[in-house]
Amino acid sequence: MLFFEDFLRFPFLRHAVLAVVLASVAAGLVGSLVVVRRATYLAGAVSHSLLAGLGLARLLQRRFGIGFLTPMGGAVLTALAVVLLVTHLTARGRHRTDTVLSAVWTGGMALGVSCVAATPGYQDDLMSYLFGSLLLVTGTDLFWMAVLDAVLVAVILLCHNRFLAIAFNEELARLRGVNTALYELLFHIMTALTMVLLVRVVGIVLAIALLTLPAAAAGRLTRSLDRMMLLAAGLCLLVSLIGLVVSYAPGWPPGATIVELAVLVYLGTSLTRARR
Amino acid sequence: MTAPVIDVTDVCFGYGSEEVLHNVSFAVLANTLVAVVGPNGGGKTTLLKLLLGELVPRYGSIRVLGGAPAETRTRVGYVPQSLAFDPLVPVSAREVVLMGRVGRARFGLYGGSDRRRADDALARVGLEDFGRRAFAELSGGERQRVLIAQALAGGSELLLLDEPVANVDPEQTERLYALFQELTATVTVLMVSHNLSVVTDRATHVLCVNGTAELHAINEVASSTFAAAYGGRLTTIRHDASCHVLDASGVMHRPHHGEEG
Repeated sequence: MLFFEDFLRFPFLRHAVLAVVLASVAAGLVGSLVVVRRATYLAGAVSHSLLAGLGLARLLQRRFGIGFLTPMGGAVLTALAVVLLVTHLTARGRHRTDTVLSAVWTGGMALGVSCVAATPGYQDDLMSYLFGSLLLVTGTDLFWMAVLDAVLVAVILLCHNRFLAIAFNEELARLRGVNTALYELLFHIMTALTMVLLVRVVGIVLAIALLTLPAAAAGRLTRSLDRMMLLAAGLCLLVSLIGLVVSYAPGWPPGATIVELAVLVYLGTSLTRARR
Repeated sequence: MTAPVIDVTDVCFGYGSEEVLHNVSFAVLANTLVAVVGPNGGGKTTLLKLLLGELVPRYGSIRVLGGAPAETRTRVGYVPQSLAFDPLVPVSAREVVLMGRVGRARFGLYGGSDRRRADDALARVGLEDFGRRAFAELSGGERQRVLIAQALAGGSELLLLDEPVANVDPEQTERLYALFQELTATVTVLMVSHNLSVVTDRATHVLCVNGTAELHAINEVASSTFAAAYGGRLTTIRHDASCHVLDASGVMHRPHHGEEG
C-alpha cells in the first residue's frame, strides 16, 4: 500500500503517526473527564477561541516581523487566558456559564478571522487552522506535544480520584477536604492545553469531536473512569491511525476522515446495547 | 469537664429577609446520639448546613469539634437527605465509599488501608457484596447505605445524618439504627429523623427544631400526656411553655393548634 511504502520513505508521515499517538493519549485522558463533567461546550469554546491566538501570532510575524511568538505559542497563551477568564467569570455563579462560553467562542473566532484578513500574503493558514494540517507536523511540534502529554499524564495519575469525586458530587468532595476551586481551575487548564494539542492534528473545528466522541463511546462500554480513559485513548488512536491510512492514497483531508470515523464509532456504541 | 462536640450560641440565620433560625443555642456532648426532629421547613437541614460550615450564621457563634465549622468539617461525616448526582458518571459503590477518604489521602491516591476501611464500612452497612456494582444501578435505599458507609470510611468524629434511612427497607433501617447506636462508643451522631422509635429507643437526646431549637435529654421526653387521645401511639416532647407532639408517622403537631382532641 502507498501509505506504508511512503511511511518508510518520508519523515512527515512518521511525524503524523507520532502526532496522532500523542494526541490520542491526551484526548483519552482529558476527553473522559470532559465528557463525565459535561464540559464539551467549554472545550468547544476554547478550541474556537484559539483562532485568535493563532491568527494574532501570524499577523505579528508577517506584518511586524515579531518572530518570537509562534502560532502554537499564541494558541497556548490564548487557551490559558481564556480558561482563566471563564473560571473567574463563572465562579460562584456570577455569570451564566453558557453565555460566557458563547462570548469566548464567537469573540475568539471573530478576532482570529480579522487577524488572518489583516495578514499580508497568501492566506492558506486559515484552512490549516480550521481543519488541521496533520501532514505538516514538525519535529518541534512533536517535542512540545510530548511535553504536554507528560504533564497531563502526571496530573491525571496523581489527581484522578479527586476529579472523580468532584464529578460525582462537588459538595461532598468539598466537605471531604478537596479544594474544588483549585481542581476546577486545573481541569480547565488541562482541557485548554489538550485542545491546543488536538488543534494541531484535526484543526479548530474538528478538535472537539476527537476529544469527546472516543471518550463518550468508551463511557458506553465501561463503568470505571480509569478504564474509560484507557479505552478512550485506544479508540482515539484506532480511528486516527485508520483515518490517516485510508485518507492518504486518495488525498482526502486526514482530519475530516478521522472525525468521520470517530462519529461512526460513537454512533455504533450508542445505538447498540452497552456491555458493561 | 469535656468540651462539647457541638457548641451553638445565640445563632440566627435566614435566607433573604426570611429568618429560618432564631436565637438557637445548644451544646452536644461527645458520644451521644441526638435525634433532630421538627416539621418540614423548620430549619433542620439549614442547621446541619450551618454545622458543616456550608452556611454562615448572621449572628451568634458555632464551634464544632473545638473549631470553626469550615475548618473542622473534614473530621465530620455528612449524609445528605437526597443526593444529586449524574447517573452517567462511571463510579462503583466502592469508589463512592473511598471518596470518604479522598481529602485525607495524599493527592487523593488511595492506599491499602483506605481500601480496607472502605470494605469494612461497606460490610457494616450490609453491602459487602455490592462494592463493584455501579452506584447508579443501586436502589435508593442501597445508595443511601453507600453514603453512610462513605461517612464511616472517612473516620469521622462526628456524623451529621439528614434522614439517613429514607428509602431504606424496615429490616435494614433497624440494622442501621443499631449501628448508629453502636457508633456512639467512638463518635457523636446527630441525625434528622422522623422515626419515633429512634427518638424513644435509640437516641440519648432529642433536638426539637422549629425556627428555634431545644435540646432535651431523652428522660425529659414525656409520652403520657396525649397518649390516650391518640391511641397510645404518640410521644410528647416538652420544652418551655409549649409542647410538641409527634405521631407515629413522624408528623409534629402543636397541641395549641387544636391537637388535644
